[in-house]
Amino acid sequence: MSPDMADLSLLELFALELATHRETIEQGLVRLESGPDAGLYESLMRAAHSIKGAARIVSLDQAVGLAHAMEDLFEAAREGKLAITPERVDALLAANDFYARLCAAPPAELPGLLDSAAREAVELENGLRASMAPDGSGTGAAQAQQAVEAHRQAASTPGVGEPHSLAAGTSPPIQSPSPAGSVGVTASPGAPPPAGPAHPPAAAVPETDEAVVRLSAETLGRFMGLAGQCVVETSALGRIFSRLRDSRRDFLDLAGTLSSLRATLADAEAKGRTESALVILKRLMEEHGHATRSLDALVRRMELTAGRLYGQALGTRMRPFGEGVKHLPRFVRDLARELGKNARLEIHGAKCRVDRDIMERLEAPLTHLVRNALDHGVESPDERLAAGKPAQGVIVLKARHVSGMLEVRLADDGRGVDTARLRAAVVQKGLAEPDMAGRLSDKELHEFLFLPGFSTSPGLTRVSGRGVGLDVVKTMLQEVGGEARVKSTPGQGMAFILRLPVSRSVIRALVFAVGGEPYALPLASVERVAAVPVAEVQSVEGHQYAVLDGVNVGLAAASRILDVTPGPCPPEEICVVALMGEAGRFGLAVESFLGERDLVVKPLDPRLGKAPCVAAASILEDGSPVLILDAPDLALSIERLLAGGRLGRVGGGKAREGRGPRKVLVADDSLTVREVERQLLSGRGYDVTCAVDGMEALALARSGEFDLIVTDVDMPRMTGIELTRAIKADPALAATPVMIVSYKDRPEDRLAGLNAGADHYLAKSGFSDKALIDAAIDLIGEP
Amino acid sequence: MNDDTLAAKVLFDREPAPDVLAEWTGQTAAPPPEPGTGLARVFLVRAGEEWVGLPAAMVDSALPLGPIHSVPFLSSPVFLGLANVEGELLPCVSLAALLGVEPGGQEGTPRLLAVSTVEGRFALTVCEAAGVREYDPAAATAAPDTVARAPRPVVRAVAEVEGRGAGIADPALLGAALARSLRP
Repeated sequence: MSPDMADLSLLELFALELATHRETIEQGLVRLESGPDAGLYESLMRAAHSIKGAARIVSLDQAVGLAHAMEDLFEAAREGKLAITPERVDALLAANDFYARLCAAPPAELPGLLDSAAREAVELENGLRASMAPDGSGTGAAQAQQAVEAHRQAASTPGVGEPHSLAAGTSPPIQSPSPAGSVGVTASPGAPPPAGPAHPPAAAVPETDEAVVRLSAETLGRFMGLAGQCVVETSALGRIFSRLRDSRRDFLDLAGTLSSLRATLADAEAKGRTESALVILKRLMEEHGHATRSLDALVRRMELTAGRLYGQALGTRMRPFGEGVKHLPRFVRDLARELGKNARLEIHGAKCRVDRDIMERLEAPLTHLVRNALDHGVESPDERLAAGKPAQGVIVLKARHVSGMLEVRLADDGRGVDTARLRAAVVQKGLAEPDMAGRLSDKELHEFLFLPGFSTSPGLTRVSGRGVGLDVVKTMLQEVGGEARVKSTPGQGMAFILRLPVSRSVIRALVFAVGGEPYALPLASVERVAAVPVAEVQSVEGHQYAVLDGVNVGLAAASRILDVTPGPCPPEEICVVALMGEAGRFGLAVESFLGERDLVVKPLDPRLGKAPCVAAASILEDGSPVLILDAPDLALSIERLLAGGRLGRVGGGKAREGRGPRKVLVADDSLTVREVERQLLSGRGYDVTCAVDGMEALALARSGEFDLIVTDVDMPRMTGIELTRAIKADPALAATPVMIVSYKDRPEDRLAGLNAGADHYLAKSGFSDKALIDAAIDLIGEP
Repeated sequence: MNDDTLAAKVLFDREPAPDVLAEWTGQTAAPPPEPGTGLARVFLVRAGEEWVGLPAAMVDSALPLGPIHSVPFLSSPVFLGLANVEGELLPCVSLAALLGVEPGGQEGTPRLLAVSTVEGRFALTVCEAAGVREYDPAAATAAPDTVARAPRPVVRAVAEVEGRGAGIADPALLGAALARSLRP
């Protein structure tokens, strides 16, 4: 069958098979260097043989030749005819990387790609065959090196012209979710796992021997949504069922009533009728009892099953730790060779389950830590032998669940942190005074390692010394809410211990109402929660605050920050959520508390873009949507409002129902201005009363209950300033907001107004209809 | 039998001409027109006082109206917020507001429609959902120029569906309009 007519589906199958076998070969090759193992050769040979056969079927001859060479090399090594030297392993890895690049390309383009890369394939093959020449022959090793160099060059120069050339990055591809959003790894229905190693006893390479399937992220999302809805509906069913079960009591009451009715009746016929009514009722009750009992069991089973379904759906987010780090052993091998050191990586806890999101974030920091360990920690083989350690350094990567968190530990048995050098570097960079540095404990010194730009290396190598690396770890941990610790024994080794939340997809949150709708904040961001009686809210410079645990916490209305219409709230108290932000503490005033919940975090629809103050969304147990707020964003918004003087007041206090529109008192001696303001405000829906000067305004304010007083400054008999002072001095009126509207716009005028106690100063020069209305709404809300 | 009757009898009993015979044979032999082909299916809904036909392929399901959570700073009369559709939160748009229809007609139960477009899935609120109906696209008339030349029309044609004049929405235009409504 020619490549042109080869079925596309066959090529796809080939690509999948190639990916599986290629991975087996790579992992096996890395283990091979730790020590030969007959079983390992078998599996390597099998893998190469399978690739050869599969490539032959889809007529990709170049791949056939290469696989054949690999197979022959493995066979010769197994029969003891060849030793596995690093150069040979290099050549084999080069060939394997070639296959890796093939896997990365779309299956349909494989024949074309192989044609254009034919020369490279032939060179690799020749390199392999040449390296099979008996040891000691210089040409064999040289040719192998040439092939490896050719491979490296081809890998680093981008392909010319073709959209999908074989050139990819120099690092081997990592099996992570592709941009198209597909989840999962290749299907391996029949590929046997690599044979168990003879040593070391702990698994040196992660074994993922479960069958896996490919699933698009969208399908998985729908599946999870439906599973969640199942839980919502069954709990609704449960509630209805409880009401049904309670109706049994009513039946008993009815039976009792009928019995007593029967007793009071004298007429035989009536008695007989009541008797039959009782009989029917008894039958009804029996049936009801039956139905209730079976329903009871069914509802309980349904709730259990729905819960398990949902739990499993959530669990699909978790991947085995081993999957995310399986590229590291190869990385360690290559880097060690480059640095002229000898080291191997051991992975423990590969089956430990980690949230996909967390796993992605761990990849870069772990790579940095490993690089660090190799570069700075592990000594050269000579140094190690001199120190009495085995020539090969061991780097151990271990993952486990500890008290609900994920603990990842990377330890090397190298030289550890030289505290003296660290201290010197700290002083030299001017980060601390010499005597201060002398008093720092080891733990405090270790913190410096995580600073950006910090490095103790005397010079730059290709790999490190730039001081970039460890701060990446710290930043990532801060983002997910984790922490890092360093343990070091000079001369014996160093360990980094990272603690992270297992999953960020389920959070414990506080749910409350703003604008009549439910919102949530992660409990981790909430410092304290309190219901503050209105009487205890005080104010300083016009800003309201409450005293919580002896600390004055400034208050800001959540409805104001989110720009939503405030909903009903209890008149006597203000519900406050105390949050700690970068700029300090603040109290978010909400309408009511709805409780604490475990919420499954659903990212906000990407089509909405970034919604201010909103981090994500979720669904409550009754199926209604809830928005999860972002505490730092809220803090920023509050700062912005403060800067603009638009924070407004908290707590409407009076109940809104049946009160009619808000009443506004307008005081101005100019008829025109009075009329304009009156029309604007009443057009908006407020109930407006006018006064011609300060005295009349004060009298009216005292007699009528106004929600807002708008006043001019220059008026006869009593100026606006005096009026404001009088209002604020009167205990009955002090709570009423006062807005000054004046032509005088100099800072001293403004200051005078605000000093007198005005809540807002609007300059007539900047007067626009909208400004007046907005200010009124700010102060007292909608009419 | 008089002359007229004889003449009538002769007239009625004469053999048909060969061409007439051929014509009628052809007509009888022709296959009957298939009912139902050439008809397009739409999901008929009422938005405000107008009836609109949404291409049936777009509509996934019709659900009872549930709570819609507004999104701070992004919600508007058109983009109402997020609604729970089978466990997923979809952006919810009021069809009446999107089309700029006058609100009217109080009867009927409002519903939530889950639709799929090229730009993703959306939830639409409608005043009434009548269900899937068929209409003959050949009999549909083009939308009036005032609509067709408006900056962003959604309806391409007007057809008689179930006795009512309904605007037939174009899926591509509707999808684009929905996507636009999400960004203020």
